[in-house]
Amino acid sequence: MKPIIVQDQVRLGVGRCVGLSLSGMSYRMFRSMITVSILALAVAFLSHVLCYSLLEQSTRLRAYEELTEYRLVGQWVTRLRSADTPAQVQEALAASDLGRVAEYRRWSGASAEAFEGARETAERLDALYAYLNNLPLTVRGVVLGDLDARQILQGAQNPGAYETLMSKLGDLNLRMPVEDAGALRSLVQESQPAMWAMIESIRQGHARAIEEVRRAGGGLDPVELLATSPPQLGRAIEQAGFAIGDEAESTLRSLKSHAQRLVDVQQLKPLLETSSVRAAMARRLSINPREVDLTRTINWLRNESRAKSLADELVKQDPRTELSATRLLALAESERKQDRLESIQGTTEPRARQGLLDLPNWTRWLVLVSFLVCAIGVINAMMMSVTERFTEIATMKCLGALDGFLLLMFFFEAAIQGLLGGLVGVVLGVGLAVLRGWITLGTLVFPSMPWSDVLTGGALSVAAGLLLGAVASIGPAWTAARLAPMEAMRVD
Amino acid sequence: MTQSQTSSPAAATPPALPGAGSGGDKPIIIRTLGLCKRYGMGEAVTHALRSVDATIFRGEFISVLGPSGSGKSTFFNMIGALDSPSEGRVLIDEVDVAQLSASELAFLRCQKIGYIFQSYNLIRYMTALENVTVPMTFAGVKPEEARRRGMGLLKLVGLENRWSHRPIEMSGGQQQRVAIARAMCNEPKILLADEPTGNLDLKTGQEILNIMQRINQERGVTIVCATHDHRLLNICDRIMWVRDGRIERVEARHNLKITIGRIGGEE
Ligand SMILES: Nc1ncnc2c1ncn2[C@@H]1O[C@H](COP(=O)(O)OP(=O)(O)OP(=O)(O)O)[C@@H](O)[C@H]1O
Ligand SMILES: [Mg+2]
Repeated sequence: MKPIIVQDQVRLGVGRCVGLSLSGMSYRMFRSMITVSILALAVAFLSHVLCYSLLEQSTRLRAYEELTEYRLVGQWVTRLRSADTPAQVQEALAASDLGRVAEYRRWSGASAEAFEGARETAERLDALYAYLNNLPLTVRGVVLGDLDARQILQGAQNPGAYETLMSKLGDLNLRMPVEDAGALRSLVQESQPAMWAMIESIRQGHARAIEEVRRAGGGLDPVELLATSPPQLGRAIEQAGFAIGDEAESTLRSLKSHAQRLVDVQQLKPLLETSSVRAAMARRLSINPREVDLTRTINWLRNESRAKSLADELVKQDPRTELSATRLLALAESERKQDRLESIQGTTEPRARQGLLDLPNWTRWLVLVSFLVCAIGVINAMMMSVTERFTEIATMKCLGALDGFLLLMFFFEAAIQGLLGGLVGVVLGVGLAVLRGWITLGTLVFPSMPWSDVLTGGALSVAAGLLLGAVASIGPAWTAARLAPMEAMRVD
Repeated sequence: MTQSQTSSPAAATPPALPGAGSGGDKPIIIRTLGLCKRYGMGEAVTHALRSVDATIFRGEFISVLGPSGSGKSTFFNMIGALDSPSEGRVLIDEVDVAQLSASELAFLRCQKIGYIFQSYNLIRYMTALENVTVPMTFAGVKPEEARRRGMGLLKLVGLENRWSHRPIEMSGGQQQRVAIARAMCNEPKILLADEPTGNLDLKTGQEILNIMQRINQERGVTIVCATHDHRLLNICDRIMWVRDGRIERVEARHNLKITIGRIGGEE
């Protein structure tokens, strides 16, 4: 009779393992589906939060960019109307705003060297402003009192005020970010007055330039001038020293249309105040005549026939009016677009840089919390489905299964469920994010879709679900597989 | 007696045993030394086995008798290398199972020992046939061959018509017969049967006993069988009485032949 020869157990291929996993899963189809759904929900939640915040951010940025055009006309009108304030000039110099600095250099009429000196001074003073303004609140109160940093340093041009300021700083043991006391004194008392003088001559140059443009435009107000945009306007503006940028023509065209809008609004407003137009509009809007205003009218002006009927009313009131139906319609559309963009952009300026890891703080929290929810859901579902099967693991061990085989079986199952749940979840989550974006932000979400970020976010969510699923199912399976079979059988 | 290849220190010449029963000079296949098993801990500890020294000879058919809770199933788990003892050693073919690697243990459980569990331990999601073929799969038998052999075994236990049924679709006795077929599928050297006829009617039970007797006599399979079934006492070689986690008595059947009726009355 042959003795029992002790030898190693046969190692089985992956195929057998996969087969067993699949047959197990198909038997527990209902359970598997629940597990997959929980996973899908978790991944959907995570990817939704992640993708929606990305989408919202990029859409807001897009809106901000599209609004630049609307802002531009306001800026030009201001600059063609009055010279920049000293503080504005200094800020632009300190920030090395290229277009502005070139204009200022031309208007200053100073030598390149003197101008560069003033610009440098502006930069260095700006560093001091930042230092003083960033002092702790109580310390800042002692040093600055009611004034701001610019005013204090301007005052310190007076030697007495300078000494007072220095002694205050000395008492508080503060040091300005300048090499030494001599440099500080020469910056405040010599360079600073020179800079302010330079700024003054820049402002005078700016005023002369405004006058030149006005003369060239036949004395028109800047808004009307930009709206009519006579052919020589571009040349006149450039000759006066304004920097209009490389694409002068397209800039002028955009300025013209937006200035036109401002002009039209200015014309429409007083006409809407007249009682006959008011009454006519009130009838059309079916509201009280006193409630008729620009916003309501703009909102109502949605098609040609309406525009035509309003234009007719306006002509009745003022036969010389230039507000035709087409112009009214264009005005209404432009205004509505601005409103929409502004509501998307929100009250604060969106931050320029965007990306997966550069989300606003609260979003990061939301993502973290949703990740935790996702993790707990997945771990729970997976652990449940494994611990339920400890007897199965134990039985298979009794019948001679290798630990590695059992682990592979569970890993495979977790992987399939994780992948399935993850894919369903990510499609659901991203789809809902896009849908929600479409509903709340409008069609602007489509051109500004940050595809690569959204895809990365989706992939990350799937990977998170997969990893969690694998860990949550392999963990208990590993524990069970390492026990003696009957010990595993007893665990419940 | 041929020694196994493994030369672990534990396997080296275990002390001679006090003659449990009348083994004569038959080779020993399973031996336990001071085997103890405790479940739980502290106040709630249960002494399921208290220092059991048992010897099972190669090729014999031994019945284990004892009241419920006396530790029979625990003893089976120990000698089948399915659980770790609290104290003491189990030697199978003179090799201490505690010295075996995980892979060697798997080989032993899969191909050298067949288990019929008291609670069957069938895998819920598998059909009768799949349940029978699982150990063959683990042993590396090709699927077609495994299916063929599995069908043969199901036929042997009278379940060829039920091969596609899952455990929940079968009666207790049918499940028990699937478990018996599974235990025999890799032609083990040792068959550990924990009340294999507990759920069977007289006729089916007798058929199963006949099968066990046949593989014992024809193939020389060592059979350890816990039972309350007195017919079994007529075909076994030795009887071991267990009580309170201790071996009370071991007797060869021929010494008892005359008194067998009385033993039945005692139980
Ligand atoms: N997992 C366990 N945890 C705690 N105690 C246990 C455990 N398994 C068995 N026991 C105890 O060990 C003792 C022996 O149990 P065992 O199952 O070996 O008895 P048995 O002889 O097989 O009984 P039966 O004839 O009813 O099957 C019993 O007292 C039982 O309560
Ligand atoms: Mg028992």
